[in-house]
Amino acid sequence: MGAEMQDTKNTQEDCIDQYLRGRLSADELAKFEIKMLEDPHFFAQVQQAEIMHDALKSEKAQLESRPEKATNGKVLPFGAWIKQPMSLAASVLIAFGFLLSGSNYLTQMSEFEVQEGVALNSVINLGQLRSSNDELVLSASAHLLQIDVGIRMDGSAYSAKLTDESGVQREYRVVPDGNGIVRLLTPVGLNGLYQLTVEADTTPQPVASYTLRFE
Amino acid sequence: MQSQYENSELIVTAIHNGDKKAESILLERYYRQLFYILRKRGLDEEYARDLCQETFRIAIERLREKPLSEPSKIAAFMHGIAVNLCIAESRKAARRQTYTDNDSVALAAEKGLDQFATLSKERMELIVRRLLNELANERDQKILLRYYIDELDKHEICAELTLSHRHFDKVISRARTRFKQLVEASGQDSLLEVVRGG
Repeated sequence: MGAEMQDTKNTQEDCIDQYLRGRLSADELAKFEIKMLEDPHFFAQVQQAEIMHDALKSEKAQLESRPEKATNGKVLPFGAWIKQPMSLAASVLIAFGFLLSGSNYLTQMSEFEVQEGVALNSVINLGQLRSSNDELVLSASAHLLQIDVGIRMDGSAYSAKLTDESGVQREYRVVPDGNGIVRLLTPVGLNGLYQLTVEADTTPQPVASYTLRFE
Repeated sequence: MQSQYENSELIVTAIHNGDKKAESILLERYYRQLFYILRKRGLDEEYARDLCQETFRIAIERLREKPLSEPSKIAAFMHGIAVNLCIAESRKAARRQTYTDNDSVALAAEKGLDQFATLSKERMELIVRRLLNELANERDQKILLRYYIDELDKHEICAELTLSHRHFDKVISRARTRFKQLVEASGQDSLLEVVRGG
């Protein structure tokens, strides 16, 4: 369709919208109504537009709750993504790892690991695995584990306990962020099977428990 | 084969010549539109029907008696009668009634919404939901909502979302086309004919 024809079509449709909103002047209204009488195709267009108006309006209540839903699972622009607390924390840690890896980074991309300091190998959201009994296999390098413990109003602190097969336990104090997420940076060089449990100071039962295998 | 009533001018002449079929054709051709126009001008269903009938009675009597000087303007002629009757009716109603019977108004509004229409309405809502879900771009959704629900003007929306008019037209035009396609695909056309037909 040519641009001119498209413009004419848009003008006609805008006019229909104005009619349905009751915004035509008396003269315009009379001309519009006569056109509906003369042109059955135009009349059908008006009816269709009215149905669309009505249906959209009746959807209003549902649509008001859409923006929140719409962001779930959506790819955010970088600007918005980086402003999220978890993204920021992960980015700082990754950047820190990059800095420590120094010039080796470009030449040893495939073996991204340093002998000293922390090189973050991955950011893993363990909340997604809560219902799974499978063990999570990780490399022996550092991983940032993110665990969703839920938001609590009593300001509880948590301890994350990493217990190996022989029963040796390492305990870390972790504090949840505003979204109820605690983060644990695993030490480099772990090997074998470990049980990770997260416990709140106020309750004896673990909030979350995972089986991790470091290889 | 072209019908002898294809042309409005021929219908007008035929009515003047006493052709009863031409009178039916006139009714068939303009009744739905006139009914719709009167409803949109605020008349309830019963009044709109009464005024439609009255419009045709006046028009046919006048055409039997004397043909129009410009038969091509039959639509404008019919429109003039209907609108004048509507204005007169509104004046009469204003004189007759000094209060609003809310229950009767609500009843009148509900009356037209029979089960068939409700079914159609529900289907339309499903179609609209689908249309909105298909709009992947959040900004496009916003354009549609601001335009159809908040009833903002094109200029206001373009200023608010920093859009060109061209882009706005494109989004709205695409939405209208897609809506039409979805309606056609769902087989609603015939249903709508009945629901809207009055």
